Amino acid sequence: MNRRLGLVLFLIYSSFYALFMVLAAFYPNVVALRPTGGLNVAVGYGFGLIFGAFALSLVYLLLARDETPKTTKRTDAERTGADS
Amino acid sequence: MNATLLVFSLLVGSVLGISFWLGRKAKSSEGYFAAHGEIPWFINGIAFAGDYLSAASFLGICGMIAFYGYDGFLYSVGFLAGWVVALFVIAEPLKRLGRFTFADALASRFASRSITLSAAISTLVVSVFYLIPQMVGAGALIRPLLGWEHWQGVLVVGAIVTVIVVTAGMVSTTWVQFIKGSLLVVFCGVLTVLVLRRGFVVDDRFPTHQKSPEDTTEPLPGLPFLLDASGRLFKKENDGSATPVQWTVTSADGRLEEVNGQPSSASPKLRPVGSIVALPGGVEKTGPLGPESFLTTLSESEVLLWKKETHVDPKKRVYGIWVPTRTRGENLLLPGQHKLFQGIRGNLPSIDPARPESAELRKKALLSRVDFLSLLLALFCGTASLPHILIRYYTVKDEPSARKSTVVGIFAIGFFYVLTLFIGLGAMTSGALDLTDTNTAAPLLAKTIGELPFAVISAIAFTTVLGTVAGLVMAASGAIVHDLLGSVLGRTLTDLEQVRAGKTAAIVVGALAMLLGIQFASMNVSFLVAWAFNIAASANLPALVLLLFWRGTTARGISAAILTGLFTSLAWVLASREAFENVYGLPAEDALVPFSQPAIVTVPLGFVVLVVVSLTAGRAPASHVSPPD
Repeated sequence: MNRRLGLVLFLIYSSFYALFMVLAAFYPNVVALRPTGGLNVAVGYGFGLIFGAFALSLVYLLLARDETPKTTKRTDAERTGADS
Repeated sequence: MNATLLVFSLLVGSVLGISFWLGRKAKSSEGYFAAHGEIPWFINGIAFAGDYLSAASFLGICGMIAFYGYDGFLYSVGFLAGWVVALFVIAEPLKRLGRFTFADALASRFASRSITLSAAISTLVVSVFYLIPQMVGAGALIRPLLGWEHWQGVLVVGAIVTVIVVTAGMVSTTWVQFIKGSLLVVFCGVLTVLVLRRGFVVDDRFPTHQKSPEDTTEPLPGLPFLLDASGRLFKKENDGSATPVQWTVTSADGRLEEVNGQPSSASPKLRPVGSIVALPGGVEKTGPLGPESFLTTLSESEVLLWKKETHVDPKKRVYGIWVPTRTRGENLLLPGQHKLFQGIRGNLPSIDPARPESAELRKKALLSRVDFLSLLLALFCGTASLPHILIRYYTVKDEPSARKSTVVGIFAIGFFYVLTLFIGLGAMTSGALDLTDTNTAAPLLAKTIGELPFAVISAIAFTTVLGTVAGLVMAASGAIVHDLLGSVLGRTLTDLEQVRAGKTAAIVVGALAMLLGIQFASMNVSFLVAWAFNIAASANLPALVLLLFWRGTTARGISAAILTGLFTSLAWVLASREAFENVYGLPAEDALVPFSQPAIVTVPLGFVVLVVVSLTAGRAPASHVSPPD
């Protein structure tokens, strides 16, 4: 379950990152644009990737479940202790 | 002892003292290598930041931004993006598989000595490569602080760290990282606020395009440089004017002879640089700025950047010449200012297909782009493949803790990387840059604000180096003891033997790192770290990802992929222009590979090798534990 969620979020983020790579490497005119008159696309997109990582990691934290691993069995006492 | 040095020593001393005190209980091998798996997730998360925000992030990125603008910020973006791979793809499955090292995780699915061995070799090589920039950073820090030579700084750090690791282990290392990680983020925040409050001031100490001097000689025949009667060097501009430059002369056998025309016996220094030459609206100073107006003001200003040229005179003496160049601020907030990436702007001097050199230029532009993409790929894939980051997953209790500490790490690291842009650009315009060393930009910026911030920032950066080096030496010695020794000797070492062997290994690795740190002294540390990322990603990422996600993976496939990725990427960086120029002192044109970042070739190669070997040599033991769901 977490694995699936992780993969979906990973795909979302890596497509944004890939678009950034392509824009920066092949479209110098696009990253130089200043759509709002303030920051240019290069700086805005860079900050976007940093804040995007914050947002997606919070989404993951909220949606991920505490799974009991299959390889090491833990007691309930240990599991409750883990989050304290 | 002056006040700066006192503050510095007190801070470094207390961080180490506290860490030792907190880590004093770790005695068993489980405690030595993995802190008993008992580090609370929040502490571990900040320790992630501490591990990760190494000298490279702080010194290297800030320096790269100070000299090239946005190209340094690319490292910030890429280094953070790599954490997304770690959190979403690698962290939890890995925590489920392993105990101490990356090799353990691989070995938990395949009882294969060759996997353990290749993973251990990869851990060693990557750790050593990552150690080099930390050592270089250490030297860069010590120089402005104590006035020592680079190599002395390297030796001091190496010695202290080896002592830390030998006497302490993972618990202390974690606490060092936690304390210094928090200090680094908080004080960089303070430094950023101070930089923003100072704003920009026009500085015209370095005029360009002056009237050409008379009575000149040409020290470099055929090149546009003029030496006037009073011993100043000028660069002839195309419009007939001349620009005063700064320069050093080095004899054919590498001895420094002159700095700015002064004989080296007077130990002269290049003048510190870094200035804004025109602000928007023609004002002289801006006063305090907000984060956004700081960036927009800079993009509408003109900044003096210094371009380095290297020439050889008829007596085979080497001239290093720095030419001040007025640069529009908007270009500094775009990729492509660094010489490696110039091609991506598409503005290489008018590529005219009719002219014979145009094919050459187009090839250059293409290689620039490939290099650029390869760097971003390496940063993205490298984080989750770094052994000293991976071992930190074993210091927490379980997967939820691994997850939470990664998120804490991402926030701390990301916040710091946002700050690097302001600190770097602040240093670019601070008037304090040392032209010969990009790595000193951040501490020198702090020095322009005051001696106290300088002492504090230097102390934090110094503990940063200590902490990161300690973590790396731990990872390397863990690999040697658990994986190399254990599997080569074919028996399990006793607890005491393990700890003792670990400490011996730490001393050896520490000594090796010191030697290499002195050898690579002239390179930007972020650039060096990027090489470590290239190697880590090429060697470890294909194995990790396919182990977790492809059921057809075999033991042979994994060891083949690790070794192929490791050695191809290592050979590639050692054959690149930068290694030729900065490490061996050979002409960059003789380099054996077309661009300097191998990831774009060697990471896919690792995947291909793993799949092909797994499919063809399929008789190796298949997985005997069901893969994680």
